[in-house]
Amino acid sequence: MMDYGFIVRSFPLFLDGFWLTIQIAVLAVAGALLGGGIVARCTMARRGPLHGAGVAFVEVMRNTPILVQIFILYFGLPSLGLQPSGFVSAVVALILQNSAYVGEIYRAAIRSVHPKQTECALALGMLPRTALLRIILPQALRRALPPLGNQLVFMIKDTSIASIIAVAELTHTSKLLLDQTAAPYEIFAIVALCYLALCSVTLAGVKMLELRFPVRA
Amino acid sequence: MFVVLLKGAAVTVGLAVCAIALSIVLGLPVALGRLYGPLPVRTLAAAYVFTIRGVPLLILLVGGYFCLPYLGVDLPVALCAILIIGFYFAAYTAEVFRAAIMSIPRTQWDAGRSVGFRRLDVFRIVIFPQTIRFCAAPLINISAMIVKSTSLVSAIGAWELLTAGREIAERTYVVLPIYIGVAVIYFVMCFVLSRIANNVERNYAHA
Repeated sequence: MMDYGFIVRSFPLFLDGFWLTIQIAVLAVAGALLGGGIVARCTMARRGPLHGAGVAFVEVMRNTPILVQIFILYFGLPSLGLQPSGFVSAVVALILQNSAYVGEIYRAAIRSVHPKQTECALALGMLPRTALLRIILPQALRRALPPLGNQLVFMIKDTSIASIIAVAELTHTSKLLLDQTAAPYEIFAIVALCYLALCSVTLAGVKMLELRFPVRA
Repeated sequence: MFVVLLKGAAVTVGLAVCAIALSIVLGLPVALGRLYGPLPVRTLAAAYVFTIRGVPLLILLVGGYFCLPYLGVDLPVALCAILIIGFYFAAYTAEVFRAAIMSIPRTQWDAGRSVGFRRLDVFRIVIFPQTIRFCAAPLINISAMIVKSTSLVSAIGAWELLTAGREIAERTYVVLPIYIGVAVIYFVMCFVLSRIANNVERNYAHA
């Protein structure tokens, strides 16, 4: 039933698509990890414009589909003069949406560190910023690792949505090949295995980080 | 124009409701199989959840929809979309059910068995009603995820809110306001769900 010759012949095409998927994923992950810090800083501020902006951003990003956000960037921005490419639209939309989720993860992790830690640090005479950097964040980031791993997997899966605006990543490659050849089983088996491999490697990497930086009760 | 968007929103809500129901109906047996089944069933359920967690929904939608003619089956797009989305999110609901059931203390099982219930009745009468408190909020969150993922079915040609917005935008070239309107409608739907989930979690999900 499966044409293995086809798999061998189309391997370079899949490799190109896979490489683009990895590029989008890496950029989105880096951007979201940094952006999440900004979002967490805003949502954890005292009630005011910064806090309101952070909360509004998180709610908007969490309650709108990623595809709609990509469409707004890719199809909507040209009417304002900007013309982002498909790649850029996808990466920016992924960064924006996942910054909201990662920001919430950071916020929950920082909240989960016992407030006595902050009190002790401040009582010892540390500046609040030093207390945050040297006492709270090391503990909070360790607790954030498992949910961050999950969010990374979601980000990798969401890169497939870029195929709808013709970014030549893995899903798009598979759709093209499906149109040209009529081998749906082989194509989608390969693509599913590629994504499974990527997600499993990511989860394994995060698990190794969790072992290297365990949460000490 | 706005009426067309509202019609699309109604279709989206219909798709989402059916997919939510399907995912709950499929997810509970998967969770039970993973917890209480014999080893082959447990392995199968775990493999199913692992695979779904690693494969994007769009791949399943496109692959499933385009593979169906080769298997001789001819389904309308909406039905196919509901089946695939329900099948996909059943893995997530199974995890929610599994976590909720595992959070019930063992003593409840022991008490039920000591009263004389069969294992099935212990689950049905003692364990499961207690899990509903813990399931409700995550299930509503999954419902919001399902509403958002119905936007993907526009990629396989189904007609729903995003497709409607896309058609209007392509015909009238009023692009940005239409897509922002689409985003606002999705936002309203998911925001309502997330507020309900917050409410349920605050009021009912205490240990």
